[in-house]
Amino acid sequence: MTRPSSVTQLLKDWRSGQADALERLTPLVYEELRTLAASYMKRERAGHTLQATAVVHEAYVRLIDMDVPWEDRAHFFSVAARLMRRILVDHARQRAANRRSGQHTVFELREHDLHAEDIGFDIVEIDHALTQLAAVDPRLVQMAEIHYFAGLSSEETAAALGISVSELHRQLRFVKAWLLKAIAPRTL
Amino acid sequence: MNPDRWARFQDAFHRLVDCPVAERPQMLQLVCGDDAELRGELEAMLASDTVGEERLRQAIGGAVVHAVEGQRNRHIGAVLGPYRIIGVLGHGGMGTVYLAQRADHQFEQRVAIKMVEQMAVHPQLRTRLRAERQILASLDHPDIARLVDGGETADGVPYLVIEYIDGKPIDEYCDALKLPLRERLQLFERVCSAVDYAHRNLIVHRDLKPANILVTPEGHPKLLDFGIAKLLHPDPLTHTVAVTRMQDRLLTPEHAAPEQVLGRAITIATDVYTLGVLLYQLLCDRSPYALHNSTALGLERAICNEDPPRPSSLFRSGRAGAIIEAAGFDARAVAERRSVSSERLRRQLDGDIDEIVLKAMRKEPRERYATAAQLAEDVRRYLRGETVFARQGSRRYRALKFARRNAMGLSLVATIFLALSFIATNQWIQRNRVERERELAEQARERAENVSAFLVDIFSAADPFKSQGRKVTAEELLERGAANIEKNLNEQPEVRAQMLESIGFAFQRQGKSDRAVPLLEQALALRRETEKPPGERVATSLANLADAHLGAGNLASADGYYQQAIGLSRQVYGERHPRVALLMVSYARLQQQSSRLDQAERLLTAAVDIYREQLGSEHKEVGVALADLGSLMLWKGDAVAAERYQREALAILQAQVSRTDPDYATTMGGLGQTLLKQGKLDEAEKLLGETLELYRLVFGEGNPRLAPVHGAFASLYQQRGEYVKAIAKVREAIDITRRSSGERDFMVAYYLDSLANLELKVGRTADALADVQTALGIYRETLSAEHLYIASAEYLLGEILVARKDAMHAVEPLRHSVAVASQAKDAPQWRAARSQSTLGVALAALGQHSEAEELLIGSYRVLFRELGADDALTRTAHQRALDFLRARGRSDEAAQLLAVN
Repeated sequence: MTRPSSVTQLLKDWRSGQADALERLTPLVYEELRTLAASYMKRERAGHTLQATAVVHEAYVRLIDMDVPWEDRAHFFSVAARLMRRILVDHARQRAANRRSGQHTVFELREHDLHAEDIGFDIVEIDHALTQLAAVDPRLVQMAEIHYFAGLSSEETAAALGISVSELHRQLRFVKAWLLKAIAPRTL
Repeated sequence: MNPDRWARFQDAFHRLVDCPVAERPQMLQLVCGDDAELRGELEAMLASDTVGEERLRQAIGGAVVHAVEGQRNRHIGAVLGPYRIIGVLGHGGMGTVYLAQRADHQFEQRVAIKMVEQMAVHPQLRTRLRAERQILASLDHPDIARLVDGGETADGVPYLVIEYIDGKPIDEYCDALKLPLRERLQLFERVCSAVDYAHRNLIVHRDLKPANILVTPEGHPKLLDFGIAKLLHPDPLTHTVAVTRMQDRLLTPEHAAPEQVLGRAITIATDVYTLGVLLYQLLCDRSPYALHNSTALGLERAICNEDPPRPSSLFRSGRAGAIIEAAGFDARAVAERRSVSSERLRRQLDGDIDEIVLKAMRKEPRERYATAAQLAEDVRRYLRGETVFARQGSRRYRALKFARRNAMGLSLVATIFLALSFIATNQWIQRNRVERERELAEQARERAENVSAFLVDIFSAADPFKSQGRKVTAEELLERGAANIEKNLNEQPEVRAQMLESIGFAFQRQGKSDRAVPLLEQALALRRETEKPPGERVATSLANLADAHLGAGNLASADGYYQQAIGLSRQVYGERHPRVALLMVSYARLQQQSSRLDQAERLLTAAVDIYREQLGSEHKEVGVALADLGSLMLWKGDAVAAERYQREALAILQAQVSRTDPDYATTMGGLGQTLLKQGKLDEAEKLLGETLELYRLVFGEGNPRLAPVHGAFASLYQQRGEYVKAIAKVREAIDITRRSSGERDFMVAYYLDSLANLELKVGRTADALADVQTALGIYRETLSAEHLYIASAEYLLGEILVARKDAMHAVEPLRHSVAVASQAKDAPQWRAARSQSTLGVALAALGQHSEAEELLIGSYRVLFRELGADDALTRTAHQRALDFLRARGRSDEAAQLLAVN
């Protein structure tokens, strides 16, 4: 099925300074994510909100060799979270562009269509807020990415960042409030 | 914001949210003063602090959905040969199925196109699509979707063009038309025949489920998706396919057969099983293991170990019905979709249909219908009102299964149900004693009723309202049971004893002996009150209690109970009864732990003799006792004898028990350890890997029994020099032990010591230092100050400190280590010598040259004599002595001083 060794190898390559390894990682992460997300959607036929974090986490777990030492995995999660953010934002932009140019797909989403209007904002706005935050405090952005885009548990996130779980929760509270303030959703 | 201001801003936010809402205005005033900008920012932060994190998660979740959908739809509008893609039909593990239309409008033909897009990640999908094409091309049956065409897109993505079926999945179809039982069975019978056609063409479908069986508006079933189907070996006798577990992971787990879960051979019996699951769903509207699907592992365990409820039992009224209903099953609505009342549906299913479904779904492939055609035939017999085959032999099957169950005692829930079966057996034994027949049978019946009422009560904890929507774990059920005994059954000592024993026993099987002990103590006291003079029941209680004390590490208490249990059992059952042998085996484990190795060997040999004489030399118990004898030999240091016993044991168990029997896995693990000791690393790795997999399946991830297997893996990797992998494994062992036995357990220290050693090897001395210090702290709490483990950990601490150039702190632990190791009675000299060598290095660094010289040279000589020149310790000591002499400018003397005589 997957080729964990190759992902692990790419990860190692990237860590040892080969910049293009990251580029080669992208499609692998992406394909795995896509397959999994699709199977999650099938399971959630009842129409619940898709658990993005669960999908993403499972994708990573399947992608990387679990014998990789935790320090390497933590780095990988952090890279993959960044990657996930980029993939999702690119897609959302693409989609918006298609809408504007009047291209419609034949089959629209039914049960799972989460309209930005219902939530008050979308991924592009989150991305924008994260970019703003990165200018002041890149470490908090890394934390938010791992937490929201890599689907790690609190314990794992804390371990990846080398802080305690309670400290993580404290800082995340700040990050969450800051992001929502920056986005200022219309329905707040 | 500049860094200072940012820090101030963050700090102010935390202070604000940490103080009560009522005091926030004052706090705001305090932290902001007249800084209006800061105040504004903070007020906005407080406002958004009240918004839940789910908003962010939802937005991200929505983006994931869109990304996936968008990707999926990107082929819409594409033209492939004469076809134009107009929509998406479905998406699976292998690829997407699109709806397409002939682009030239020559014919009004719609087709389904299956495209495999994940080739970049999974190159083997190409092979599989090719296999599917070949399989479909060889099938020509009205109830199987036809292959129309195939090809590759311009960018090399292969696809299949398949007959488009405008139908509904079979379950939805039946429900939409409210088909009664009879018509469902007729439809199902056609499906069986189509599957049988495939089988006769040597093809196993392997993934039969409602979504893959569509029914057209005209009522014709059509089999789809041979995506993971396999060609059988053309040899008609074997009819199996070699599949890896990985491949079968693509399956929908609810429909998987035990052999698929276990990665065993797949035969047409696998399809017979999944047809049974399909029939179950068509009849009852739920999958057979619907109660178990909280986790994939739980579901897999249920598939392998537990029997599904009989279809008719789901429609029972009264208390049993209420429980099923509480678990989310609406019997009335289900029956209504079959155009009958729920009571009538129950009566229709009860008997023949129950038996047909259960026969198709037997755990052991050879117990099922031999072919799909036979299953179809039995359904037809039922429809014609004739006796069905499934009824024959079901009684024999149940008796056999009971025996197996008893032997396995696998899962917790099974263990609790065992209590019920146990009562039933007692009832049966006692019936044969004519003189007391009526009275005892009556008592047993009453007990059985009390116990089942009690069980019902425990299991109603699974009611989602009572457990706040969480899935209740087996352990919670047990705890709940333990708490309920006190309340509910106070007045019936026999029943109470029975339940205390069952729950205690179940805790014991889970490796939670300390929870078992108090329950079993109570049970024994009750048994002694009710059974006079003491007989079978007291003997059983004594035995269980002895096992629990042994498990909990109370060796002295366990010893006393074993002696009592053996004495009483000899009286009650006779000197050479298998029960006596069973107790001897357990008692031998205790003797082994107390280092009375000869005593243990005598007990085990005697037990093996009794078993062979009473049960035959191929019996499972012979295997178990031999396995113990094997691990005893390993303990004694005789790996060759150990290997011989363990291989014999494994051969017996392989033939006698299921692969998920814990004794099988444990024996395999034991052999793995023996091979590890002998340096046969590759075979050891294979066996240990399988042990780990089986333990996970049988006991669940995180069970304490997994810890020593991880430990063994660590030692294996260490022997291969793969330190990083070894570290990961030791950490797993530590995590498990910490969770199951607590932070300060002796075994935590043991593994931490190994971890520190590995960390030292890879140069992570700071981690090593912290870990060895924790280990030492625990050892000092749990062992006497003169224990060799303490000496050993102090030696390691010294090595680490020396590696960190902290000679000053290394001296004291090393001196203590030397002292303990030289005083210990049975300890070999090298233990003290290795500490002395390290101490020598430390003292040399501190300028105490004369003592250093004495230690470095003396310890090298001892190591050379005891371990030989090639041992790693000897070589290190040699190098250290040489370095010391060279640094003093005495290279010439070195050879002479280091000469060993």
